[in-house]
Amino acid sequence: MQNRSGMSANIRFALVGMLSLVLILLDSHFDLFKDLRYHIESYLTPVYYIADAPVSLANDANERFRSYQEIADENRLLKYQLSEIRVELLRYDSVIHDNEVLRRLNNSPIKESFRRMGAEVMRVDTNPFSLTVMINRGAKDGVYEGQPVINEQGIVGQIISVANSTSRVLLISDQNHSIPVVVMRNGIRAIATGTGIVNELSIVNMPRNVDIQVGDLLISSGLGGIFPSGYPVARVTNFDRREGLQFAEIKAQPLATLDRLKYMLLLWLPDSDQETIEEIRAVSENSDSVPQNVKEKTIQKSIPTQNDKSLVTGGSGNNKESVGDSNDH
Amino acid sequence: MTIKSTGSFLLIWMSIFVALVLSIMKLPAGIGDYLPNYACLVVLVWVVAIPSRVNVMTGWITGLCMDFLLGTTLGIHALAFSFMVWMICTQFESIKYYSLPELSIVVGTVIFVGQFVLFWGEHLFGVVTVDYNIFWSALSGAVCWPFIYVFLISLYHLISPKIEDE
Repeated sequence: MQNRSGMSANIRFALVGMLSLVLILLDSHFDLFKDLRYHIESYLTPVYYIADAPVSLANDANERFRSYQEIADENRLLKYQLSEIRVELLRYDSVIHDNEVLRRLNNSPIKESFRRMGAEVMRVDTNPFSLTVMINRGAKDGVYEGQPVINEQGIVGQIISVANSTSRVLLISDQNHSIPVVVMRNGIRAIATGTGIVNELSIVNMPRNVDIQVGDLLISSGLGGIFPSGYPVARVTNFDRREGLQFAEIKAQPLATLDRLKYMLLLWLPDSDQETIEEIRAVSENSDSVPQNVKEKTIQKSIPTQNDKSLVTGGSGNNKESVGDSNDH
Repeated sequence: MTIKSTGSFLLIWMSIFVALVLSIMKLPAGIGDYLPNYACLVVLVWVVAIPSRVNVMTGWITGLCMDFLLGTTLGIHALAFSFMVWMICTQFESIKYYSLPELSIVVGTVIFVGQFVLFWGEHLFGVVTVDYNIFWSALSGAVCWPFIYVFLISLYHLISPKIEDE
């Protein structure tokens, strides 16, 4: 009896081991189980909610027992912050308007704002070997794979798998994630790769004499076509240009606190591929030989009608003023 | 007989289900890394207690469920879990006669080795780093295991008192 069961355990393990190796291969290289995974994860949603329940119930209870005074204080603080942000926004509106006018002058496409949707992180454990979190939005909200996710601090990551009402976000500091960035100070392009440590990115393949300093802000460049350009990503924390290193070792810290995520925003890029390609084209045209071209064009445009020219110059003058104003404030 | 075996069948799968839910529960920062994998502990309890009912297949199915729940590549947890069950089944001939502390040491070791299988599977197609959490979760697993064992076995005897006699 003992012997037979031992034998069958061996055979069973051989079978099952082969089966799992085949599964691993098929899943990782051929992506065969996407639909299956979608359906099963959709059916499993209640399980996720059950797992999420104790902590969220505890949080609710906590909320309920807070004193009136605390809540009133917090309310006051929030109102104050809201009014501050509103004031910032007043300036932002005019800056956006200026930007639009300038871009029109430059013949660059105007950046639209994106459709957004808030999402909440579910307190559910995920793959221990990668930095992912699960959120409570899925295919029924229009979430798609490769969708950028941000929060109020900066870029968080991108969607890697979608189920009906949940989806998983790969954080930018995962080892298998990279994001194209631009150094805000001087426009140097770089690639920030995750290290697997939750609050560390590394800037790879930069020569040792590159002009990057500790404290530089890295913003997304939008070149990959996944993330929109201009969102803050990380701040450089460490720059090592020792002799003997082939490349500089640059570390950066993501601006979003990736280990304490709670709420985030999903972005829908409008026709993302085309726009970035157009943008790249526009930028490269501008940076090479075309400034004169553009000038000629504007001159040609402005010459025929006197009105037009005055409009253009008047507009730009106004813009300068308003920009100056906002800087003064 | 059939009612009893259905009862124990239900008990086994219910306990595995509860353990699966528990193991995807996220606990406040940092503690989660040091906690054992409950699903794996429960499967190992059943394998030690009733090897005639729970075998490599059970471990494999539990691992596959784990893969779906965690969103890992399909088959990684399944491979690791079935490997652990296989080790218990074949490598320890007289495990029935071990005392509880001995059992928990064996289980801790098996979990530790199983974690390396998990790591190796993940390493096949991605960059991953091993950290000391592997060791800690194996240790906490060895500490928790006897309690889970005693609890589940007493439940099992409540449901089917005579089946263990053989």
